[in-house]
Amino acid sequence: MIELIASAPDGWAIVRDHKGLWILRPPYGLEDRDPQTDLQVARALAHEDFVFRHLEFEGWGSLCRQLQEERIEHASAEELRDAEEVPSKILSEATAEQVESHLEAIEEALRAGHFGGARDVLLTLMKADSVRASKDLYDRILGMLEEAIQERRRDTADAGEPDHAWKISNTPQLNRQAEVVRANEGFMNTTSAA
Amino acid sequence: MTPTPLHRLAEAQRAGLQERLEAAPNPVEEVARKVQTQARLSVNMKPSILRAVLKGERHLNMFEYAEREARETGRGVDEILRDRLGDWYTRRIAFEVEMGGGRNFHYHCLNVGGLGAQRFGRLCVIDRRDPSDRPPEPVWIAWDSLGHEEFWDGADGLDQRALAEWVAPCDEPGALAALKLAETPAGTGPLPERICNNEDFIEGLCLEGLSHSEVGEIRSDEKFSDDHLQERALRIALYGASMDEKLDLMAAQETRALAKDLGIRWNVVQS
Repeated sequence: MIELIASAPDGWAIVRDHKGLWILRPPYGLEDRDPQTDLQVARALAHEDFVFRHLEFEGWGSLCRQLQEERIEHASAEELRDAEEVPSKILSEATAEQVESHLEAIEEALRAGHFGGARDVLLTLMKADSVRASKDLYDRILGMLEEAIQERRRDTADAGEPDHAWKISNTPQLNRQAEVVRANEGFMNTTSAA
Repeated sequence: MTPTPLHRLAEAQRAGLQERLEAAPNPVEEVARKVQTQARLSVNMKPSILRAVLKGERHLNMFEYAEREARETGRGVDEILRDRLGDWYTRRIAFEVEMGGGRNFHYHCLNVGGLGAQRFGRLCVIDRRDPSDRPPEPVWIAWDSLGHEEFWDGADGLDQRALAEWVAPCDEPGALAALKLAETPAGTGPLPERICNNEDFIEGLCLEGLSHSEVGEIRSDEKFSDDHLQERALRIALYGASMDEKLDLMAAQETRALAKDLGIRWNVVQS
């Protein structure tokens, strides 16, 4: 059995199992727990915003699921909305070196068939200042984007899905793509002129 | 600021510290010099606590936390502290009563580099001020005042004579650190880690909690680096993730952005 001794609104928790005391942090991976002494726990309880819980769980899995659910329950609607958008926000601030590294990972994702995710990330990266400042990066992303769309079409055709089904469900995405390309036309012209 | 009994105790040790330092071998003087020039106060925090500080809240001590909880729940401050400190309640209250003279301390660490005592929080927040320039704060204590057994008798009473040997006024962190390392060798690792790590540190006690205008630098491990945040964002965008993971990424991003807006340096240190 595992005892949840205390938890905080940010999802941090103080836990006791048969090995001793632990601090557990979101996102609750194996690397997100550290052993604690009795003194360290007392100090954390006194100096931080922990609330006593004294609940028992069968294992780490059920404990982490409970903490994850509570964290989402505590979040406001605004926080949940912002959290959905934060990956795009971060990616749109990628440096040229980070974009280069991302493109390698995206190629892998495309090879593994993750067309939708890859297409969304490519559209986001097109808006990054670092990409808008580099015609090479922009062209490379545009090429990958076209490839992603082609691959997706081939994939749906092979799977016997009606072609229009994907087109309809992804119309907003295609519109977004067209919007990004239009927004970048000025940049492309300037670069070409230079 | 009116000095507390702890401030007076530290001031009374000034001459004795220098005598002990002069009697020590040469390498001790070198450590003293290094620590003296690089000394800063640090406090390790959870990201959510740091965000509150960066948004304008002063960092709270345990009494202020208990007072806040008392206002919300109607319970007594003493009852709350007794619950939270458990077996350590008697010692902590004895120390505060005898050494605080009616006021309560904020417990920080002496830092000369590195990530501080990360088990108390993953982010190491460095006070930008030279501790020697703001007398009588802070008072340095060579060991964890709560856990160092030599400061306490069998009945959890404070042994002020034992404590007096290991306290120093604000402008003597170098002497105290050098004497501690000389008398109790703490391994052969880099000096910053010997001065402050998860198991052992030199306390810096202040009466005021840190506010964002006093934060000069934030240190973290690689998990808060720009590259790591980018990698996490990419993985989530490509393959999806639970809302919990997205909330965690947002918290990290928000913490970095707040620090950037305030012009606070963020240094990623290899852990």
